[in-house]
Amino acid sequence: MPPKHDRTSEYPKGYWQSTHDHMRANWTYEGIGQGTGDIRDANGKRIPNKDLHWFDAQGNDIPPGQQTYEHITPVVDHWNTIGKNSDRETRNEFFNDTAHMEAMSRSQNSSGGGTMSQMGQHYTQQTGASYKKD
Amino acid sequence: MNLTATLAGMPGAEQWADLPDAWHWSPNPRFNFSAVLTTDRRHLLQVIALDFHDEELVRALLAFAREHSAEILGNQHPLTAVNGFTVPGYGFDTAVAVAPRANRYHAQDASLHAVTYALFPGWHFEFSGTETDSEALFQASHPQGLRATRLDRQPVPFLKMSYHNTATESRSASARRALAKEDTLLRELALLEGAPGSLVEFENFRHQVWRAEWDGTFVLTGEGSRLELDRDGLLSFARNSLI
Repeated sequence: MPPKHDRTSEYPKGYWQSTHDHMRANWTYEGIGQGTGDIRDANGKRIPNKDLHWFDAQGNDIPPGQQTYEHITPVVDHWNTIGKNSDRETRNEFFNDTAHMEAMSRSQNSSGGGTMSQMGQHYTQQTGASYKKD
Repeated sequence: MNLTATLAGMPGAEQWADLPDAWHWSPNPRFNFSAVLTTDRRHLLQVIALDFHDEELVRALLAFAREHSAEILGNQHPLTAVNGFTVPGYGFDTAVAVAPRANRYHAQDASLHAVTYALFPGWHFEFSGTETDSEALFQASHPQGLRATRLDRQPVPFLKMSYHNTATESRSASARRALAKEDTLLRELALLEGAPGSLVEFENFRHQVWRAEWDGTFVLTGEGSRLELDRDGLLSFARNSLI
């Protein structure tokens, strides 16, 4: 039987536009150069994330289409500490908190020791009195 | 590879004054890169500063690490923590170098990466000295590791743990201890209360291991002792064990 509470059931599937804009402004060469995440081409069309030049926290270029965002605090840790006793808005705000997020490549995230070395955790199924599904 | 020419040829590279074989350059406005050659002149010790940068801190770190080149290059483990590094105004007491096989510096330049040690300041209780390659890589390069390129970071005590809790139905993915954070340990220790059959096992930078369980009170065993503690006593013990 699948768990009742997990990342899919409790946290957003995507990021707010303002989150993307902040990350684009701070983790792409175009954003750094223009001082904004609302980066557009010569025709005024917004350039998609996959066509921007992203870098990670070691200054490495992230290969095109490989960019992802990583939370400094794992989402499961947020759930097991705070999310299990909060409303959806609180969980959404954590998920979109760019102050605790860095850009990195998908391949680095899956092979860079993250899953091999860090203690993985299961989502607690015990919610608190202030928990709200929505 | 002629490392002197390579570093001198970095865009905008400038030599550090009063520090031989050391250069500084900035690939974009968020970064300050600094590197010094090891005494054998065949490797780099590189500091990457993302956003916050302090020339005196970096200068001291480069000079200290260069003096300890032989210790760093001769270590069979990927991570070398050299105690005794201090700079006025900072709490750091250790200089840390991570071997090329366990860092991602210059990841897109295979030749340069192969001779580059990641160098950053730290605290002695953040390192066990026996980190595996994947553990050192995680600590040096993953956003959930030590955040080595943030020179204004806070200390992150070395901790490996595993747990399972019969009441919350949460548990670590493996019964084998793995890297974790202090907040997670303190949370799971507190959640043992009233949950018989649950277990938290944790290891500090000295490789000391303890097991905490609930048997009408908190019971802590390890290092040849068995203690019965209340909640505050257990959490205080755990905090103190990590530093």
